[in-house]
Amino acid sequence: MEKKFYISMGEFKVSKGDTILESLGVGSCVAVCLYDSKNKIGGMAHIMLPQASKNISSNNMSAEQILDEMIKGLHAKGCKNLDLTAKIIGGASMYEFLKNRVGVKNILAVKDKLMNEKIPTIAEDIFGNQGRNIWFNLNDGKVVVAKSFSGTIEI
Amino acid sequence: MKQSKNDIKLTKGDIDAIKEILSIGAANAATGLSEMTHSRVKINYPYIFNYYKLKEIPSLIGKPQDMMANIHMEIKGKIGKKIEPIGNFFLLFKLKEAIEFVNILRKQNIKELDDYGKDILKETANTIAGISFESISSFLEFKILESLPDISVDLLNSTIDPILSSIANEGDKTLVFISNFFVNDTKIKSHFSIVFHPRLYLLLIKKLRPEYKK
Repeated sequence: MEKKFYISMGEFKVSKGDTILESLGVGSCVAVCLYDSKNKIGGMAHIMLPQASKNISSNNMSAEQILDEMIKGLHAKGCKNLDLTAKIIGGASMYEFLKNRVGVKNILAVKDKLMNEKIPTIAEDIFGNQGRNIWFNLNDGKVVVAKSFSGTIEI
Repeated sequence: MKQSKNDIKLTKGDIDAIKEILSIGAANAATGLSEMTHSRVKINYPYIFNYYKLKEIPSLIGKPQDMMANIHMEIKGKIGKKIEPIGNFFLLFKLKEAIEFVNILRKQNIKELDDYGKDILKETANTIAGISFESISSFLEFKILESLPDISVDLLNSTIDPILSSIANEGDKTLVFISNFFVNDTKIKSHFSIVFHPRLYLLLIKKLRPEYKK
């Protein structure tokens, strides 16, 4: 039986084998799926904040912090960065007038971090102006992305 | 231990007082909506008004993957000479119900939300925001400025996450006000929602407790 975990904004989950990791309604947030195909271990992070907050009342994790934690979690399960590949999904611009460009910033922050960790990005479905539902299958590393208006793809 | 500004929390009494002000705003908005649509508009009690974690906010409205029409306006306050962000206003409909709502105003039977339909929804949000902010503005004693309404027709979470990201730097919890309107008895449900900027509570505390100095 497959296990299913829902990853909400600002969270991540690491698991192994028969597992589906799911993020629903991803707009300008970014889902990062890291996968070790040898060991069928993977993790999904749902990133909402590109840069760490300077405000002490915010415990929200930035792209870098959340990926750090997730990579630590993957190491604890026996993965090495060399064996990991990444798929990146999201970073849409949901509003015409909204100037914060947070989707683009999230994508750039994620790419920076992955480059520093030397984890290659092997697939992505990013930007655009529609929301996405995302399912990451840890049996084969495939990610199904259902976009609101242009169908479902597998990356 | 040194107490930071952010450690001072609103009490239950403070929250009840603000809720009352916001309720007046929402009631005025419902009246405005009723006049616009020439329909009966009912407000659903109780209102939601409390601190919520940012990631919990979409679940106060629906499921993350619900298809919605979400009209967003940024709210700023003219405080002295400064213009500061104080929150975000949303008027949300399930997409199907948004189309029904547009049909009431257009006296037509469109099946898909077109650009004209979107303009109608934006104008609706603009009108009721203007009416409802009057009570908040007079309570806080500063002028409230609203941005142009902007619409996103998409999955519920995806229409809210860019806004939550923009306030995630300020705190992981914020004040949220939600009230539901039912247009034409219970056929069309609309969520009137304000997600306050976490910084606003400092202004509220100064207002509610004059003894508190910055």
